[in-house]
Amino acid sequence: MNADEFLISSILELKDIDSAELTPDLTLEKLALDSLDYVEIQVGIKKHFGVDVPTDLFTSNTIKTLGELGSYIDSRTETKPVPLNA
Amino acid sequence: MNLTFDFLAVRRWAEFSGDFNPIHFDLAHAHKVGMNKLIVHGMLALMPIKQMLARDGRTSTRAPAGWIKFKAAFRHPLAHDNNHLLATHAVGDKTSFQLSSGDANRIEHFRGSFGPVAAMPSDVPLTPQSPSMPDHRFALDRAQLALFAQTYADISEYWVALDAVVFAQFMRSGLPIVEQMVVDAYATSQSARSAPNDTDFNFNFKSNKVVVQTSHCVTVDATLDAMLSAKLDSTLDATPNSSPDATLNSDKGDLHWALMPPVLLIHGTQVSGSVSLPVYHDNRLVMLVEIGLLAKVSHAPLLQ
Repeated sequence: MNADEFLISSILELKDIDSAELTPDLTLEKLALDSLDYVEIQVGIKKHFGVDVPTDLFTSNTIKTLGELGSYIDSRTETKPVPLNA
Repeated sequence: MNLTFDFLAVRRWAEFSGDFNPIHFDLAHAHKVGMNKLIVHGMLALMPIKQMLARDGRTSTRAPAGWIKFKAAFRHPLAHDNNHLLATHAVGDKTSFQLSSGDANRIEHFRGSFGPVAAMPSDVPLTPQSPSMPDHRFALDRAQLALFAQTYADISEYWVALDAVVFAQFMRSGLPIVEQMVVDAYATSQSARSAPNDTDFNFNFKSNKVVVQTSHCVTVDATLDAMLSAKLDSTLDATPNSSPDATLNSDKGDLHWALMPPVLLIHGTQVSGSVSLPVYHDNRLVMLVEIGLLAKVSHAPLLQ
């Protein structure tokens, strides 16, 4: 599962939203994520990719869209993302 | 579906699970962490939801096979005696749910989903013989299972009982280990930042237990669950008092669980993380319980 697929899967678990709406240019603001949603996503990213996404990247608007978050994860993933047990 | 939990129900769950956090019993303490009322354990409130979703899933034409995943995000604590409304709807092959307050405010307490998933995360050992198996392993407490069957006779789903027993054992045996890991990780992060040693965190965390559960996720082998549930259903007709406990005790297989090293994130004075508890039956992975936790290094209200 790559970063984009992971983010889509995580958000579908957290929000009642159509997967077709989850495009790379969709802003996190439009998703109306609350603070616990961000925590859940940050922990999930750490767990699956070993990447720590500091909260201030969201609060400072450094990361504004799903695509930017996916790119941030990709740029810091040293090893291949964890595959799934079949 | 309407759900209400009174003081007696909360005390029963505390006695079963060992979770006597004062936010559930001490109003002054609840006020201290920003709550107006005493709080219901999230795991207690999830139980009837899991039972209902599992029953509906097995009887519907969308009955899943392979792995089934139940995930709940805790969004606002439930208060004693309040009426709560459960709403569900189908989203693809899953059922989405939301538990909200029964008043006009419609405060969202839980949201989540239940349905099939393709696979289990690969970092979870498929067998206890795996080299990546963690050191912290626990035999399933059969006495605890018997207590569950006595206390919650209305819960007939095997995995719901198993989830509750593993959680109760985690509260007693696993959480102290995780708490120490949190304290150590925080100290390490402070040291890395050359920050002064924050003894307040250690004191506050250990003495006040300012830690809350933020999510609960169970991925279970549907084949095993269906097999044991079918066995349970057949015995229910013959013996009305049959229960998950009776089913498990008639099944002589080995059941145990492990505590995987938690994933922890430290951002400022907040520590968040996830704890994974794989469950094995006869040396085969049959269930994974994942618990989201949040702690803050502060006397400020943790719950808003």
